[in-house]
Amino acid sequence: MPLSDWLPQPLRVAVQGATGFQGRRHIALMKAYGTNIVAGVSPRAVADVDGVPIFTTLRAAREATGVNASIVFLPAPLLAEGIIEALDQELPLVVAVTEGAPLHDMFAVRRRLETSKARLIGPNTPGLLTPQAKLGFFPHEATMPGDLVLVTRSGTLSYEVASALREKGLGLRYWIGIGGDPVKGTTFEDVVVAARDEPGITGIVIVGEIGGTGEEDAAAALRAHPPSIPVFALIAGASAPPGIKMGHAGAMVNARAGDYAGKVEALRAAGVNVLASPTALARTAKEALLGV
Amino acid sequence: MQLLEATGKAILARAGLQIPDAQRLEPQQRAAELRPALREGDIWVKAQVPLTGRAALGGVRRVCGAHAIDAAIAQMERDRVGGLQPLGYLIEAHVASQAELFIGIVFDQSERLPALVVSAAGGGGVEQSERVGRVAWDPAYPLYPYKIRDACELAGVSPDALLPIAPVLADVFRAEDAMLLEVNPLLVRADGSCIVGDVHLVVDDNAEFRHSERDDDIARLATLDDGMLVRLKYGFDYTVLDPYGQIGFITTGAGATMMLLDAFAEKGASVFNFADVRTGGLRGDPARLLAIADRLVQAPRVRSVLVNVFGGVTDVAEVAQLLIDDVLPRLIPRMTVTIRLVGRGGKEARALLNQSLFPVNLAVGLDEAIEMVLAGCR
Repeated sequence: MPLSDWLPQPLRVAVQGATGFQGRRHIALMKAYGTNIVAGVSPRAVADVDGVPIFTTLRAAREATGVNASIVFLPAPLLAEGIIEALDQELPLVVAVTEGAPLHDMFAVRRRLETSKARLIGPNTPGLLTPQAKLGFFPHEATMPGDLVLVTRSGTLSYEVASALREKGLGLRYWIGIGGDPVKGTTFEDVVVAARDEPGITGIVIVGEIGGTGEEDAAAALRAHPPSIPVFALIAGASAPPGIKMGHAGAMVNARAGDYAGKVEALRAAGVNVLASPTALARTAKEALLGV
Repeated sequence: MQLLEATGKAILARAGLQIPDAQRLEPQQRAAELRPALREGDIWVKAQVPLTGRAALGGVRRVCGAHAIDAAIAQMERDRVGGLQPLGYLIEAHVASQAELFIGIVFDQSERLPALVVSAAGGGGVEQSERVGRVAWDPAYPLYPYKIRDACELAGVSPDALLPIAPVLADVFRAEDAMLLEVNPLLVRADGSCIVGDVHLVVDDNAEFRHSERDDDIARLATLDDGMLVRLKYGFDYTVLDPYGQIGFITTGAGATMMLLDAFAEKGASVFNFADVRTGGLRGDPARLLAIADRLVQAPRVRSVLVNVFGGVTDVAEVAQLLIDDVLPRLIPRMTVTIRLVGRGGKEARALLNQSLFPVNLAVGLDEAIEMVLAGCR
């Protein structure tokens, strides 16, 4: 399934947690970008936020407005409930930006996903950005429309990469944050496979970090079915000491897996061009894609 | 975070597992305050520090008699254990056993599920053991006996002793929001009964909101771990990486900060700390920035500080104002400060810093910032 199939058309977005500080702030910002926000969900008795009608349940929002995607701004203790509510409403796309999700709550989400056709992006992610829609809070000023797919675990590091690519004249068609948590919905592998199947994409950029095996799994998928477009990667955490959690819950090397060398080796074996900095990545991508 | 052995054992005892006869001594207490049965005979003195490998660090001693207990405590206090002053001591009666097993439930990042792990090589042998039984387990379901038998068969261990123990560990793993629960060694006695020799319990920081019963334990642990203290008090991630590092970080974003660490490591420079300030949570309050600045000022060798924020949602002009009003006055007399505030409000931020007349290096590019920081160390 190509990436474009992940976004229902026309996109009709609900915001769960619409009346909190983050929900209110990002409804305004996402609307300003052009995202079609048609409903908010909150148990609070609020008529609307920035002109967006508020419903007490996602079911009511779906029935009244026909939402087909949700973005979840709920606080961490309520996150799993919010995601599962969206899955129960059979929305095809759910983006969960919240950080700090309890691990055991995510086991429940993981299990519910096994019987769902939905695409969950996150949690702990800046979300999803295309030239047409922003679901989350990627800084769109850092990039420009183009034909690359940028997939990342780290929000801030991808801001640097997107910005460096833009400086070299390279823009994005999809900017997807899969999130820094160890148990999540969409994986690197899901994105690179869908990007490979997406017509018109000229390259894939993977922004990874130590911990877990997401980068290695993506490398295995690329190795099994090599794409016809170049793939570039930047992996953070080469110098991180083992056993220390580096901010992200998933960014910790343990004895079994997840170290920098293993990720780089796997990606290079799959033909991925692994670079050491955003500047080097952008320079190399420009040479490969624009021939200068 | 890793809980103390005494806390873990109390949890397992409440769940119905047997633990050795033991008494906890506070740091200032000595053997005279022990029950008589623990003042004599074959006794273990175990420093309560949240570290693995305590024995190798001198934090576990087998002694005989009250004088030897006090001597062991005095030595651990003097030498510390892994650099930490123990939060008390567990004084435990030795348990004679026929076998020492390893059993644990460990979150496996590659499977994104917990796994039951079993080995015949309890004690210090599990790391080297070639036969480790490992079976994934979804906590939505009971830890069925077939899974326990599977893990035991893979490990070459008779399941008899572990069939009643493993489901209890599974219940504790769920109830405590654990990420790791290891019993090592599990002491198997001649009559087949089992006693928890040691326990390693790591719980999920993100689930602390539903575990207020642990608040006192965590407050004590935070006295040993400045990173934990910062997380609890200010709500962001901070870790000292090299106490003698020359470069201090006031940075946001875990991935971006790791990338910067890599860049400085590549140049042979040592960084004092990791920080992910999460500037989106500042909301006009300099407390998080000051928490780091104060630590950098007290660090023995930090001479050059990098402030790096790529504003996505955050307006970095607001960060600039907090730096000018509160942070730079503390740092500037002592160290070189390089500031890179880019993204939303970047131009305004640089204008504010220029107008402030603080002698800081202002960078726009990453590579430029790195060079400025390195120059500040020279």
